[in-house]
Amino acid sequence: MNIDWALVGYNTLVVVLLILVATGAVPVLSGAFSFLAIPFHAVKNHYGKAAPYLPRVAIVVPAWNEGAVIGESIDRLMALEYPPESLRVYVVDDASTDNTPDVVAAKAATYPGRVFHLRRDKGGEGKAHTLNHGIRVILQDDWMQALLIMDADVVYLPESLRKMTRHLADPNVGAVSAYIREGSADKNYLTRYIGIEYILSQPAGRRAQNVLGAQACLAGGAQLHTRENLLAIGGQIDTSSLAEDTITTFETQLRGREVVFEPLAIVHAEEPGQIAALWKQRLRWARGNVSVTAKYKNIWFRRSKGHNLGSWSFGIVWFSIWLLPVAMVTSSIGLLGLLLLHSQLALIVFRALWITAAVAFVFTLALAAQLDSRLSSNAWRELITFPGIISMIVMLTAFFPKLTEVDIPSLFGWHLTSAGLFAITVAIYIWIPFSMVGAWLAREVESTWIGRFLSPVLIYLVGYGSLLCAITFDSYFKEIRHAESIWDKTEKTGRVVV
Amino acid sequence: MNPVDPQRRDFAFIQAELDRDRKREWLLVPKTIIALAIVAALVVIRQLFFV
Repeated sequence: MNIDWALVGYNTLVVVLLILVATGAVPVLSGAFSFLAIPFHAVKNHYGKAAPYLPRVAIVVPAWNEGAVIGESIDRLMALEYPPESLRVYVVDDASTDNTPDVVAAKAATYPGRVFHLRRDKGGEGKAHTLNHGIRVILQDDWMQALLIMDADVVYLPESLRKMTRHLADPNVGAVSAYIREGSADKNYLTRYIGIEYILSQPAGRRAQNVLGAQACLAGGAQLHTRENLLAIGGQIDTSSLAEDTITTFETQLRGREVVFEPLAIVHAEEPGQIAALWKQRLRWARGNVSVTAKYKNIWFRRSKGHNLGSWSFGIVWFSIWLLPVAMVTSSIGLLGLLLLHSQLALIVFRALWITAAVAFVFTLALAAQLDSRLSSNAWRELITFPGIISMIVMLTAFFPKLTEVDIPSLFGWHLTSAGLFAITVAIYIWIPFSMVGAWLAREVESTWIGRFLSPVLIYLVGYGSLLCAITFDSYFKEIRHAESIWDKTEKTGRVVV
Repeated sequence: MNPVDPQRRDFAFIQAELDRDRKREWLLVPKTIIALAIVAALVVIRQLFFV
């Protein structure tokens, strides 16, 4: 038998390239799968096991140089629709150098027995260390039945805490998280994008995680734990990584307790309005997720009776987010290789991939827009351009090929030559990795005189998703280089409004 | 009528609020159908005019 090794090699290469292209479809399909789970929240939610319940809640607020915001935050907490005798606030001042101690001391005098000022002499070790200082004090007596961890700058809507505690009536629940909504008064293009991202990840994504039975992360600014759960996870917050919220969430579920996301408990937070600040914050999160992925290497894709963290659905969702930039690059390499090797097949695969992406994009954003219609109507430009204007053109090219290849060019009297079409096709196929370069460029020019104009334009063109992917890529490099992990606080200036 | 102190909501009020919120989650079904309908409309337009 004669074997045509050249043909075998060719076919093998085509299959490898097809697999590479398929990696790009995994995150898209995983996202669509998650969103298809959302309507099932109508029946598979925790409300059936929730009940009126108002435990004694100790709120621990880490504060470092929060003089501008902490006074108002305390006043708002004191005005929550919650029995005053069941609510205490412990502000842990992380060796602030501004007027934070004076502001907190004044509030402690205004609300005696309800507001407490705790001071760390050595600060700057990170949020988890600061929280643990407060938690140690709180656990010294048995007053606290539930612990609310929050940030100094966030603003709880009056009924939010009450809507969270009702889930703790179920003894199987260890922790409850709220919906952190972007709430800056002086919104810009970036905070509006973050607002849309938060709708996608919380009232949409975390609702889906409620249905799938495993939560990836309790919101750092709004997590409510039962005393029992806090003690079960060691009576303190993990300090070994930059992802203490995720580790707390995983540890809770690994001990067989449920973590519930309450979409109707709303908390407003101030998010970065500059790419550099966002990059710093998200790099910390992304690097934290690398350590979480490694720390829990034995749970992925391994079913367990006690929790759903090992389910395939949760694993695919987790890795799809974490490895999204890799998938984007491998997919483009696959498409480009196929184009050079087998252009007709490349066209079919390109259309299939991008039509899938277009359908998933329209579905997810159309649903997300309805989940927080007020916020999304104020950010409709960012909602529509979330994947980036250029990616939208690529989707249009795949979805309506005649429109972009014939109809629109003919309007201008143009006719695409085969060489021109090939060049455009190559550009389209490799666009996604380049979009990350565009996002990086937006950060680089942001502080220059032209950046005020150019950075927003670049982000609208390349898409907010590409910006997040570029940051995740940066986290890979930092991890590979074993760059120092430092806790670098995102600066807040009290821009939140309700 | 006595004004109700919002910090002193009774359990009947909280239960009613819970029931209301639970019922509200059913709105997710028509919202998903609307999102799927938009996708379906795009697919129909493509099939009719652009293939």
